[in-house]
Amino acid sequence: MESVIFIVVRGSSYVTIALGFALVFGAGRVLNLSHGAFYLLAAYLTYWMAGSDVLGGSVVLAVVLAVVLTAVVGGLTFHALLWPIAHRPNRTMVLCLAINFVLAEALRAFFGTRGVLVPTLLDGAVQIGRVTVPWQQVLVVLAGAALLLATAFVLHHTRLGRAVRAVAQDREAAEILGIEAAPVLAVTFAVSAGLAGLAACLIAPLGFVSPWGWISPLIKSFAVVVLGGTRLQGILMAAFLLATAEVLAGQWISEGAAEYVSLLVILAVLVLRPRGIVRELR
Amino acid sequence: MSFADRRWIDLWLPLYFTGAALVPLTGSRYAAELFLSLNLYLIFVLSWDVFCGPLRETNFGHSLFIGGAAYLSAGLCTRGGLGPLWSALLALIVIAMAGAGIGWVAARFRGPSFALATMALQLMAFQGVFLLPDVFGGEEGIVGVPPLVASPTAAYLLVLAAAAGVAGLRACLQGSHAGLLARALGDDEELARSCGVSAKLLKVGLFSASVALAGLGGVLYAHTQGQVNAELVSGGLSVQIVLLGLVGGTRSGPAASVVLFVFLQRALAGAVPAAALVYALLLVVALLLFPHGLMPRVAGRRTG
Repeated sequence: MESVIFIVVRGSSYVTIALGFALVFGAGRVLNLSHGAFYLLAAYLTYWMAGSDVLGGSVVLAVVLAVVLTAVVGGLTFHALLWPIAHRPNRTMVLCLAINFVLAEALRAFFGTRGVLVPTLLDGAVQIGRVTVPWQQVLVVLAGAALLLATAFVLHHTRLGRAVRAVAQDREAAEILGIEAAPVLAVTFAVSAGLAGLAACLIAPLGFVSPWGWISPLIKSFAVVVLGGTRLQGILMAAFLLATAEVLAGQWISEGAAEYVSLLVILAVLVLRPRGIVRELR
Repeated sequence: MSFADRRWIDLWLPLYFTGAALVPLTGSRYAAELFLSLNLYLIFVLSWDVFCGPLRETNFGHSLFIGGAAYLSAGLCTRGGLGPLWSALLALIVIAMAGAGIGWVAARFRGPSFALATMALQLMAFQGVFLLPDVFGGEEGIVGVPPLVASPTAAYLLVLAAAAGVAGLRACLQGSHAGLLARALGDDEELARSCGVSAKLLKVGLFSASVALAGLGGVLYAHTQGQVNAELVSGGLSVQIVLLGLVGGTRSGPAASVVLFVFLQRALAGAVPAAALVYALLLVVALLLFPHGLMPRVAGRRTG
């Protein structure tokens, strides 16, 4: 029972983290290695704003503002830095990692190297059988499901979603039909950054966050997308497969071994399908 | 032809090594430490460029080989009871063999796949350092690593000689027939293969050389600094090496970017608040301002 709950919570958090990453990769064929940076930025913004007097200590307001600010930063980053070199995947990856590097140093300068505790949206816990589950974890599960459904709705039933899918399928054909790729991708990137930010506000309170905390969300997102592709059903399946593998590795081997699972997944897929990701990027 | 395209500009590098050899005569400990650090970074970046330069690949896991050799040598010395020279030699042999093995598998990867595979390997190594604190010393790392040679001046000159050797070897490789074939592979692998270039052999050979030289840098770091810690296998070091290599471009460009930015880093430390942040921003700005490097290729550009 305990394992099932761990898998559900972990799987839902991976769905939430990976959704934005998959959106940008699917739509723009951009391997956004700065996804972890937006996650971290939102976590620290929430921590800072909730702790200051500006918002009267309101965590909800801090979360909303942090997510919006992160989305804006994401959109501007794409437009100013990444779109001009989007046709050069290696250079894009280097720049994305450099953004992580710069953000880590910025956070270290302002907040120090010690981890910070992002405040929870919900306090307390609920008893499920013999397991005590914090309400924040329940929120992660519900939010994961809600975000997945909301993303599916937007992609299939809104004008923006149709434009995103058109650009993802064939950018040139979409441009010929009057759908400009650059603004569509900028909005997609902004939404992706916002989703990373929202994931941070939900998941980061479950532990400490440090300036080098961009690595884990990036690796998890990438592992989910590498395993499941960019379709929503694939993301759901891959997130829960990964979560199951990690929970079992943690129980059978050690907690440390669980951290290796995502990296092994990435390596295994690269070795078995070396052109798998490259084909997506072409 | 632009200023940076002129070949005589590369003469600054031998002049630099000549000047650096005179530093111990100044008696300044600060200058000796600065140039020691510079020369170690030269080895790190130039060894990265041995493979990534002509082949236009991006290796995000270079710190794995630097730190791997350093940890191995330090461990053999402090815990294995071996002398520093034998530890260093053994560490170099092991890391070169590991590099050949990894290169054999990684030769099938190209572009983003190669970059991501190397990044995944480096992250596994970094996490491994903290998962096995009894072996790797945890956050503190391994301390009390004995020097390779008796005096600090001799150690300084050893590192300088190694850096000059790596720079010379890199220049020879790039000017050789193998270097020409490697550049052809980097420009258009399919075309090069169809012309009979043995891509796998060339990639494995260059990768092994790159790894062995990185290991040399790691071993020298461990035995001159007297300690090894997780920073040496960190993603931060790998990203720095990649940025310095890309900002440099070709020929003596990577060496120029190392000299410029290490001096800058030292100048900023203590003089400017949040010096590490300013340094990181300047590196990124340089990457954006010089998309083809300080010394771009005359014919053909990095397109990756």
